[in-house]
Amino acid sequence: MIGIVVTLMCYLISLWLKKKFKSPLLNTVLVSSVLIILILQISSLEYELYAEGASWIGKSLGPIVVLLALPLYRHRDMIGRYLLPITLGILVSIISSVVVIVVLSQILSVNKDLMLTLIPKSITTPMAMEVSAMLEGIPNITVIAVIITGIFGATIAPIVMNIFKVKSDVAKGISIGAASHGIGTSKAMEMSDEAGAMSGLAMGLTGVIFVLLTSVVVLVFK
Amino acid sequence: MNIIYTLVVICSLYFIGTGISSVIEPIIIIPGNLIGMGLLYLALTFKWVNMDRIKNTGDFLLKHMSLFFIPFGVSIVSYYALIKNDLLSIIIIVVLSTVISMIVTAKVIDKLLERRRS
Repeated sequence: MIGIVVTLMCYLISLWLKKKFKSPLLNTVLVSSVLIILILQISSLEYELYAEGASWIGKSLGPIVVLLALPLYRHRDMIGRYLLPITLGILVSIISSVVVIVVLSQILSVNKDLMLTLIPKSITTPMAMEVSAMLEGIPNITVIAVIITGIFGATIAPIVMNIFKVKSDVAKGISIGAASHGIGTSKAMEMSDEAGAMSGLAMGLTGVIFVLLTSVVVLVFK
Repeated sequence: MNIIYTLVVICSLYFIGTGISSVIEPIIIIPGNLIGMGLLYLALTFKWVNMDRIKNTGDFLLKHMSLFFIPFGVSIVSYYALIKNDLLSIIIIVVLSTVISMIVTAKVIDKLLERRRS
């Protein structure tokens, strides 16, 4: 129970902070997670006890993701009209993300296992773990990279859209969903219903395309 | 009543999605929640599910979707030992690849749409 109470309480505080200061850096997932981690550090509350209650909130995520069909259905005309930009955008996102990871891994001389572990970090957790396993990375570390990617992506998204003067909701939604899966999508939902719809679609398509591409790559090189 | 109706719809579609997910697992990994999302889309298209009855609760839950990610954010604490040796590299790579791919993708789509309009 305590985990549920602490999570809801910190979520309320983060909503209040966001309303009061209106800074995109005060992303609700980021602020709440940091607050809870601080509480775990300074109080006698153990992580295990927290997680026992909080896991109920985490488990409820499944049915909530199902609801992403709602904005998608409302804006279904966009899928047909923008099919080509959507598909190209997702491919661009996958390629640019993987290229940057590989190049930076060389520059930072990160070992190959870690590089392979980080490659699927932009897709939704179960698929990312599967891709990580297929590439012989370390799926447990992939999970952390996926979470950090999501929280960072959701926090930086409004700033990126502003600085780079991104105009259309299609561009916003697809780039956010393809780069930062569900957590990014929760941010896109706050921006507009159209951006949320596109982000949910991008999250699903990016995952499926990523898994298929990885299967091909593994087949060819092994 | 509509709140209960919505919860019944999304939970059952999620469960069916998870079932399908485990059946097709040997061929391809697609999480149950994404399959459930596709099923709800179909259900709305074929009017098996009444949009008017699920939209209020549905939109309310979607508005607070970020709440459901918080436990995952906190779980980083329990993984910290796994990554502490490579923490800096991981953060640099994750941060730069996420922001670069987001910028490039958003600009490419914006340009494609502009070209189409002119």
